[in-house]
Amino acid sequence: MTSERKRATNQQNAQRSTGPRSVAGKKTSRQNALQHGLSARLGKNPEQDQRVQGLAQIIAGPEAGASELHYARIAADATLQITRIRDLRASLMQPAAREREVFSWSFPKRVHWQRRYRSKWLTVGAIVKGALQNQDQDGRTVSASDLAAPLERFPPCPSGPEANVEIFSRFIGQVLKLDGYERRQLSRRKAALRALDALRALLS
Amino acid sequence: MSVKTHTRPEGPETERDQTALRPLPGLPEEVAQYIGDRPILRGEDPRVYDALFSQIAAFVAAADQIEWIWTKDIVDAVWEARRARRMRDQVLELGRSRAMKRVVENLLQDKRATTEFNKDVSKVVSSWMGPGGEAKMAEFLAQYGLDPSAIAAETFLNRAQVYEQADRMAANADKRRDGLLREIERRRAWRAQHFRDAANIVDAEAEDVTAERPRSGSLQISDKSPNDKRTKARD
Repeated sequence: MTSERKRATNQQNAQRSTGPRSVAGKKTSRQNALQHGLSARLGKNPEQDQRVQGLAQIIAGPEAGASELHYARIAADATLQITRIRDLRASLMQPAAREREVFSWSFPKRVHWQRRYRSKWLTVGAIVKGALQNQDQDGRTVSASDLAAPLERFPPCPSGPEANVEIFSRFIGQVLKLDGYERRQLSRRKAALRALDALRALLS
Repeated sequence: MSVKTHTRPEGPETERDQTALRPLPGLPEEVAQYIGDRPILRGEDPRVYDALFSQIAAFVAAADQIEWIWTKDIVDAVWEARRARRMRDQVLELGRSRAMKRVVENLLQDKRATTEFNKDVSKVVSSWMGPGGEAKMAEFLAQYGLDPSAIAAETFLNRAQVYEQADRMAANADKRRDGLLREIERRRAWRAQHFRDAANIVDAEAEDVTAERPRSGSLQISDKSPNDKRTKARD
């Protein structure tokens, strides 16, 4: 149990930690909770605000009043977020962007393989060197098939549909997480558009 | 020393590239500037996407900008579901050679210690890839009391998680598509009902105005039908 003395000290210390005081500090700390922004409101970003406003005007129509624009803005914000989520999903699955990451030397299987064989007598450098000199690190003569055997354990670097599937398999977990964010934005937009229609009906 | 440089030709090269730069067929320009991008990956054909878009747009027949936004979402959902299903099937197809290798490795375990082990496994598996491979595979597996379904089972076992995730992804996209179609249907039905109600109100008000008109002259000719229940009730 916390002692009275400790509690008093904690309260005293907490009085001193009241967060940033400068404008710049407050501006920075405002972003602390922001991770990926997929649940955030785009309209709060000045750059995106113009796009949200433009699309809201299209949704509400040229003669819309302030109330109609309010709901149209929510619908526009959600629509642009949905587009963003969809782009993100495509880029996660984009082979062109992911090939280097998946099939580079940092590919876990290769690292595992290297670690396993480094302790014995092989590293990639040693394979090449041995192949050139026809002998291993201890100077024993080795045949090409001896060198090739462990190399066969390397997963061949796939290309074409094989690469696409490999990338798909690797990132599908992350891609699936995006579905939840999209569902939330779709629901938000649906509610806003229903409210907009109801308001229009009331006004007409 | 000469340095080999690759110069990227400026502008689109193929018809496929040109299609990707064109706006989506039928989508109003003012909407297209916000949501007009095609969510396609490298290797996917934008012409196929455009054809799908045209078909679905003709089916939905969007009445206003909101319905155009929904139409685009429906096309994207259909496209993503197709992609997920294609990948799901390929996951199994491309996992087959790895599964063959694994099954053979397990069956030839007694030879694992030999240096020729990997060669032997590769030799067996590559012989199954060529013409008549299926028969060779069945013959080899029969020696160990197995049949080709062992390979299918091994493939599925290795890729079950990805297969299930791809399936879920396709199902999610289908749900989104169905939800959007339902929303279009609901909105149209709601609007139609609203217009009907509005028309009834206008009719009723017009009748009220006629009924309240001050009577002048001796002869009054009513334009109301004697069978009109609503008018009768009011009278």
